[in-house]
Amino acid sequence: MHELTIITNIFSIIDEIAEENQLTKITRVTLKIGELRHVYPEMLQNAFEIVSKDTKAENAVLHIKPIRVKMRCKHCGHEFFVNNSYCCKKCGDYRLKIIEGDEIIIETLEGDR
Amino acid sequence: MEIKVMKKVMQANIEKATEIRDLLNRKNILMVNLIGSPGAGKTLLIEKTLVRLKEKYNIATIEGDIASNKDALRLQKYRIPVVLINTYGSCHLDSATVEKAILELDLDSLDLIFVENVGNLVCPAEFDIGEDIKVAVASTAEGDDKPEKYPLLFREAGLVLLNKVDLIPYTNFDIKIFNSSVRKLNGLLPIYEVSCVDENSLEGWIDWLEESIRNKTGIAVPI
Ligand SMILES: Nc1nc2c(ncn2[C@@H]2O[C@H](COP(=O)(O)OP(=O)(O)OP(=O)(O)O)[C@@H](O)[C@H]2O)c(=O)[nH]1
Ligand SMILES: [Mg+2]
Ligand SMILES: [Zn+2]
Repeated sequence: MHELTIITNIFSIIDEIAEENQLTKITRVTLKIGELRHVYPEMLQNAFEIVSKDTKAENAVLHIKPIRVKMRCKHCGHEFFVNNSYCCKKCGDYRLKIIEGDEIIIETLEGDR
Repeated sequence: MEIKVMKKVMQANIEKATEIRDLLNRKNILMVNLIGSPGAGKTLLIEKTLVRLKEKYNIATIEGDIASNKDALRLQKYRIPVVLINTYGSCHLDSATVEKAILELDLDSLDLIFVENVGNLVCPAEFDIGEDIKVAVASTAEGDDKPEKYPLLFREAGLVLLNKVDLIPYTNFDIKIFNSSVRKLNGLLPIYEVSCVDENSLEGWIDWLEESIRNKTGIAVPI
């Protein structure tokens, strides 16, 4: 249940941004979540609903964009999406660097002043 | 109005973990974060390791447990510093809680800190706590499909302890399937096959740990 921790963190960021921009109401939050993060969107939606009650973000839409895991081979530079094997699809090397797919990012916030 | 935010949600945890890592680097202390399912054998592996190494190095443990102090009591027998963190329902340790526990220890007299994370294969792998290495503790009683089902842990880990290999004859655990699915996720990850009821099986792990302690602390190799 790290979903609740994630939502709590999201709310402290939302509060900050709302404050900075003098928003009185938040209508939409867009999140990018890497597939490696094992986040269950439904649980996140539920947690969001619970935590947003009686806040500026009550009834806001939580939009979750799943991000596929993308790696770059440190040996040959090839970039590829991972299906189930973390091995370079071109040269077979295991030494990879993650490009995306392990992030949890608040991309945008929509609201009214 | 739409506002571009682009903020990492777990940034606060990462920043705190980085502070811990810097602190332990300054103090030359190795921190090992043990992660595995409930009952995989994390506590018993720590106990077996303490028996082997506690006279040689200064070791402390931080015990993450949802509610009880059972594991902490098991470790206190070894007369080493043990800090218990009860997470009260939370399924993982985060860097802020670990920092509090670390600050209870005398950092000037330590070489190694073991952290036993809350028994869980998913959430603890998500949270950097400033450790040098995450050790995935799997056991043969859980089945050979765990790497495939919980890829993040095996991506994040720097070492796998496959525990309870003594039980293989009584299970349908296929070590080839286990190894090859770990390889798929992380081709360079060392896997040590161990059993807490067979002292000899622990050699490789103990050697690895001693070498890591020496690399971190600069303690000379005893002849
Ligand atoms: N046969 C066998 N039993 C083991 C081995 N390692 C641990 N056990 C037993 O497995 C049970 C669980 O071990 P623990 O060390 O408590 O496991 P844990 O991972 O710390 O469990 P939690 O803290 O509850 O998450 C105990 O009864 C141990 O005696 C092993 O290598 N072989
Ligand atoms: Mg335990
Ligand atoms: Zn390559």
